[in-house]
Amino acid sequence: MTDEQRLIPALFDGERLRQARLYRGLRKQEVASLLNLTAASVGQYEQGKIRPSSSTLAKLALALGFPPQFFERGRPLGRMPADQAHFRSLRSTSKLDRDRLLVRLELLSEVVSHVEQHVRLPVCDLPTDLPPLLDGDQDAVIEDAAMNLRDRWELGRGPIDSVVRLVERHGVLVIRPTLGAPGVDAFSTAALARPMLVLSKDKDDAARSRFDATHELAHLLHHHDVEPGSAWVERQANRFAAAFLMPADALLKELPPRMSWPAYFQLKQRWRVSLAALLYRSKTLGRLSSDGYLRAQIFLRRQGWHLAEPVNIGVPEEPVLLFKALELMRTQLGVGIEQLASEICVPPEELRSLIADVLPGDAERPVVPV
Amino acid sequence: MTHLPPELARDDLGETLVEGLRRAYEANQEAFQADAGHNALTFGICVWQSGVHFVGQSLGALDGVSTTVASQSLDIRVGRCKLRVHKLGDSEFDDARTSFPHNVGPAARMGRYEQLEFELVAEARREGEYLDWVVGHYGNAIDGLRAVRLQAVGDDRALDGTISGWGDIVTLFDVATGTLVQMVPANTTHEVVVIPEPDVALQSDADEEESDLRQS
Repeated sequence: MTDEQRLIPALFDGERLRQARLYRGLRKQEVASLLNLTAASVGQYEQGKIRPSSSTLAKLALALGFPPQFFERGRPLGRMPADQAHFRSLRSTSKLDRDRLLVRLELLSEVVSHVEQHVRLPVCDLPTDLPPLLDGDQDAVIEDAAMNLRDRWELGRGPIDSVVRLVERHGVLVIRPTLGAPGVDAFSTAALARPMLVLSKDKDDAARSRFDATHELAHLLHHHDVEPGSAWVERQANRFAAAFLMPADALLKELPPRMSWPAYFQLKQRWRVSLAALLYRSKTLGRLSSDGYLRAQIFLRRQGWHLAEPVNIGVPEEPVLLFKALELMRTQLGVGIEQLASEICVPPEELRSLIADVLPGDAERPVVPV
Repeated sequence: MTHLPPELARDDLGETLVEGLRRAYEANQEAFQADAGHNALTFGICVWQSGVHFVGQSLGALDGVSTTVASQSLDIRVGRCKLRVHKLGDSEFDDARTSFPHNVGPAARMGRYEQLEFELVAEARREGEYLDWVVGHYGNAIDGLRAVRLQAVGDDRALDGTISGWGDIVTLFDVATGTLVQMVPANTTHEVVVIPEPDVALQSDADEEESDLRQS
């Protein structure tokens, strides 16, 4: 055993054990069984009440597939409490699966921190002085909030060609992991060094993915201190997304006076939103009557368009920010995956798995079962 | 290969035809009452007359297009071309190749050239072109307008001289596939906001730039 390894138990960080365990999707009892320990011991290691011996630490490192240095105290550690993520449908998944995903975000946040030592990323300038949206706020307040953001970001009132690029330019980290869960679409968190927006790659629908991204942006901006997942919070975020993507004054000029599918097809292509969102917005803005909206919904369902809409607007938007930063590091500084992995003490293959979520295009991505 | 003559290959013509027919369908969908004895026949007749009204009204505003109503049917002229509007089916799934006008109206009679007219048309017609077209619309009282196709009166004739085959079929609008005439929304006033990719720079370069800025 080297001197360095002998020093490690003294510097042992229980939080790192929690991360490694959850990253592998294991319960304390399962780790304990692998090492002939008790679940209570594992719990005490994680809470920092006791420290493992050198040999136990070596076994832990081997069993969990992380180098012993990973468990060392001293590196900045991001903590992502489950109650600070706007999860929506993820709430129906198991705690272990959710924790596993959150740990991936924690580690990815660390990767970004290390990348930022070499590369300057856009400053996160999400407005912090916006009034929170409260339960019972009228729709007009939400419409104003959406227009307020458009004005601050000098976006005018036209269709936005890429929501993902927009939020990335304002310092939000966007990731598109394959979650392997049909009911999961997106979630976000502001608990880490940079706000993160997670869009499921499982849904191959560009219009819905854009709407999800804007919905999550609403949470990041306006729902700091509310209980994530409440029905009114979700409703407000939907309303914000609709108003932000389809400003009332601009859309009303283009909505047909009467229901016309060809016109709505054109609008879908131009505004890059789903037919469902357009119809709902049209009803909200009073262009479609309740009956007209109902008839359109019936027609839409009869055609099977609620499952697969007509008018293809292309592939979902992909994040590019971290990919560009990593490419810059590799080409200009010669810092590749191996070195970065060594800096953050994770195996290179795990780093590749982590950053696969932020790669654009159809690169092979690991599935994070949720 | 399309047999569409140049005077018909214009977006505003297709757009206006579809819009006029859409209005004809919608107006009669609203008025349709099955419990008052309305049926597919009455709906078809109403759409026919509303089509004369709405299509004629909107086409009249287009340059180079003239319309007249003869025998309660719309006679459309665009350059060398003659168009007649006819309901050819109930849905977009009806096979356009085997859908023909079954009555003895003007569209069906497009196949029967008078000798003089035939000679004049033959002179004006260039190789590979068809000058007589039926604006075939497909729809019903429940689902409304489902498809609109320009169908060229070709050389195939039944024994009575009516059309028995189409020379060409051009889809202007098909609700199932989303095919539609190319048109830009009329009241577009806001341009698309193009968002560039986020910028990244090496920390050292960015620091130097900031330093330069401070010095200047």
